[in-house]
Amino acid sequence: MTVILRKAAVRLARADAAYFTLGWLMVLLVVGTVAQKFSPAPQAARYFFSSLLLWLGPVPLPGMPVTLGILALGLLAKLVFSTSWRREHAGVIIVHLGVLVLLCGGLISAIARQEGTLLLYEGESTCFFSAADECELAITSAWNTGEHRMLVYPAAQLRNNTAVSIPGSTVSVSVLQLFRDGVLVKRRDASGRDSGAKRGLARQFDLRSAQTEEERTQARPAVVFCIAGAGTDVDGIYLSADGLEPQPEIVLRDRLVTIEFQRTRINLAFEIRLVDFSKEVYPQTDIPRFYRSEVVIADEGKRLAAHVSMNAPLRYRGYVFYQSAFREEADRQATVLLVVKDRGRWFPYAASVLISLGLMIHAGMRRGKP
Amino acid sequence: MKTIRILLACLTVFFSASLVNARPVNELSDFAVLPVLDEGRVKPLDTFARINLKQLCGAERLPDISAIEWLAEVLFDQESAYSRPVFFIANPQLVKTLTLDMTGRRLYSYQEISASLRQHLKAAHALFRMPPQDLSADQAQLVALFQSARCFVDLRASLYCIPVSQPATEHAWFSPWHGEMPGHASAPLSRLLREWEELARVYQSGDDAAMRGAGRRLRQDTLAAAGGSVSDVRLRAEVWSNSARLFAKSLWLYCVALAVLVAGFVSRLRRLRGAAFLLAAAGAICHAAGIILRTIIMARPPVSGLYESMIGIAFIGVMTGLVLERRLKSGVGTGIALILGSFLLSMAFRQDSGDTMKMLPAVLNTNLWLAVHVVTIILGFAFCLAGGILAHFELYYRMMRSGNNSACRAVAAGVGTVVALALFFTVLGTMLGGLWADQSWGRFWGWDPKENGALLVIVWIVWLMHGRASNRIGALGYCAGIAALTIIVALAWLGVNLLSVGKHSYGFTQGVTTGLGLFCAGESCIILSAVYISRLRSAKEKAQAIN
Repeated sequence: MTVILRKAAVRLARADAAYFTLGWLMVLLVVGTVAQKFSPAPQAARYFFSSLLLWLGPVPLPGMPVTLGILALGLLAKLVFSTSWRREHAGVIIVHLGVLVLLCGGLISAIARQEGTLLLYEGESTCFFSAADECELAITSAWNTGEHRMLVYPAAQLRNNTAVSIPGSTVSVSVLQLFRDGVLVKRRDASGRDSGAKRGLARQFDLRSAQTEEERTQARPAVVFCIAGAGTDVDGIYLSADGLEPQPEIVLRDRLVTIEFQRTRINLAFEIRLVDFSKEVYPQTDIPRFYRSEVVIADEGKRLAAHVSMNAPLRYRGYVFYQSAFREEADRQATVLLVVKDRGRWFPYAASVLISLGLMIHAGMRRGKP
Repeated sequence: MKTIRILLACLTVFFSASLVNARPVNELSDFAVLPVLDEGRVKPLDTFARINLKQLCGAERLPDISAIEWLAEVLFDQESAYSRPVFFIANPQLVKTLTLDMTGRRLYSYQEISASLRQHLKAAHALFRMPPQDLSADQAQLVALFQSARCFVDLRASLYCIPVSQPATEHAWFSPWHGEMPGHASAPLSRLLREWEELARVYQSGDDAAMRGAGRRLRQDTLAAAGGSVSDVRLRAEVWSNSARLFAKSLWLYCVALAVLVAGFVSRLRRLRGAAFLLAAAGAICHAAGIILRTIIMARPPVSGLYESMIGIAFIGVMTGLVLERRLKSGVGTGIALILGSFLLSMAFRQDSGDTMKMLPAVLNTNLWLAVHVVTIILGFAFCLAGGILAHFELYYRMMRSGNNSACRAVAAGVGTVVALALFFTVLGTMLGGLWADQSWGRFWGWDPKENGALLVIVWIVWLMHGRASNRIGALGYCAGIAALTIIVALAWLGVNLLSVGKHSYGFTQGVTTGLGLFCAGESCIILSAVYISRLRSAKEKAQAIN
């Protein structure tokens, strides 16, 4: 077994293994890039650059993570088994090491990176942010005594017709339709008459997947579900979409239950408050010059005033807050911050230094040689 | 030493001519330097005039008067301005539709077109509501003419040339034709308004000396009112730069040098090749002066848009070619310099549709990253293009003679050096771009088309190197692959902008699809033909050796 593994490693370490892998990498790059023009860019990017396997009809092909993995294994094998550790090869060795560090960083980021957005109105504060890609169905029970309890079902566990029950009751919630990129379409009969057992927003809106580029920019995770077992006044079909009010609420005997489909909430270990958001454009134009959010972080009794602007993110306790967008309403402004926690963040920096250094050393040593 | 003397003599003559040409019309010399706020930037009136005139007639001057003279006429003598032909209409169908004079001329006055446009107002309203891509060529030109007419009529009101200081914020700028400026009544403001009235009066009186004096006073008082927020030196530098047209001059020098070089290759005269080198060097000096001037005027690295990247890559390409020429001494280096210089500068001029010194959007508004990342990637792409063209010469040598002769070996060594530089700077530039993205967008890599384009260039070179190292690619294949770098760079640099997706929205372009397609197809044909002929020659030589 060891001999076979060693043979495979030596084979992977050869230059022609890298030649074929890089050739395939170029194919993926070109196809994935062009595909972003003809299908929704995020989905195309996710399919070509994040899927382990791509399917050409019934034929599985290695996706980008697999291709990069083969490249990384090849580099590792090269460094371990077939590198001649001589001074004249120092440049190439350092470059290979740098690429390996970069790929390892990519792997760590892919596994451990937390990313999401934080919408904050001026004067408001929060201690969580919404994940970028993950959604969840949150069932919150609030008793008259002031007690709250939240039960969360990740969207990955939910399928059409999946039924979950509200604890301590005979009431069940069955998922009918679930969309990560849902768009609400006004029903023809918006008055809600003739809409059968539909309740709340479901009386006025239908739900479907976003189809055009414009719809995709406004799309949000949404779900249509059916409640049964709560009595004829409450049983029916409901609709919940991330960030859309009012969210479905049902009154049970002893409590108020809110059922909300939302982007997965990730708790911060501190509270962040938006003091002021400012936007400046170049005079007599609509060209933005800068955006800036003045925030205050409250952490275990400490208060820290800071600001976030383009090209100047705020770093605090492993989280990095980037100025991403803003929202302007009639009487108030909100900032949208991108929140990232990435343990692999420093790998590209180290890799940049190693690769540049290696290329310089290699060029210096090859100088004057054919 | 003799070479340097000849070069200096050429440059002295050339720059003297530039300086004479660059001097603005006397009575309007101060008027041309007056600051005006336009598109978010304070620029001299001369630039404002050129941009607006270019929008109307596609050129920076009219057959009989300069842009600044035309602007003065628009501001102070509306009757003459309305009867002066400035609207360029090339489409005979549009001329017919508007029932204009069809004697073959292409410039029409506002007086001539306004009545016809009024008749088509209803149709134009409908066209304005349609998506631009659904308009036919005739309809698009009618819409453009309406927009030009609107721009012409609004010109006076859009002349924000009076700075008014405001508490705690930047100066607000007003047009003298705005009438009252509520809340801003002040002694300096009243004085500036009176001076504009005086300027109009002396212009109409035709007194050149009084015009000069009034212009000078107005300029001095405007600068004083702007309170140090406007640099007189930069305004003057911009006016000089507008007139000197340094990039146009360097393009002209590159084209002449290319003709001389071709003549040198055909006639096998070394002196002609030397002359071409000198002319190329003179062009490079003009080119460098233009870039330095832009940096001074904009107070930032001149690398923000496609136009500036073309200018930058052309310059690095020219310098690479000239340095190579010192080593190869065969005219090949000069050839690379001139091909890159003339081709890329011509492309840059095609991109120039008005103001090329636009304000930076928020994400680019950082001098450090802009300088570090963009300059590095420009160096990388320029070396890639230079390496690609040098590999074309190597292919030519392989096609015409055996690959083992000394000229071919020297060129092949040059290809190695340039490709090593290309790889280094493209890798460094791409990594720095990733680090910038990490700083402003929160991720190092996002598989954005622009990022993928740069990665494709790197992977292409690395793939060729690994192919060569594993003997999967022979010397000829490697050379052809490096020659194809021109296609890869064109796709990575310009092609991805056509996709119009991703976060690099400030870099999108339209209208280069056909040109890019033709370039890629042409280059592919050239490279494949050269490989085919070289293979045939090589096979023939082997057969002869066996016999």
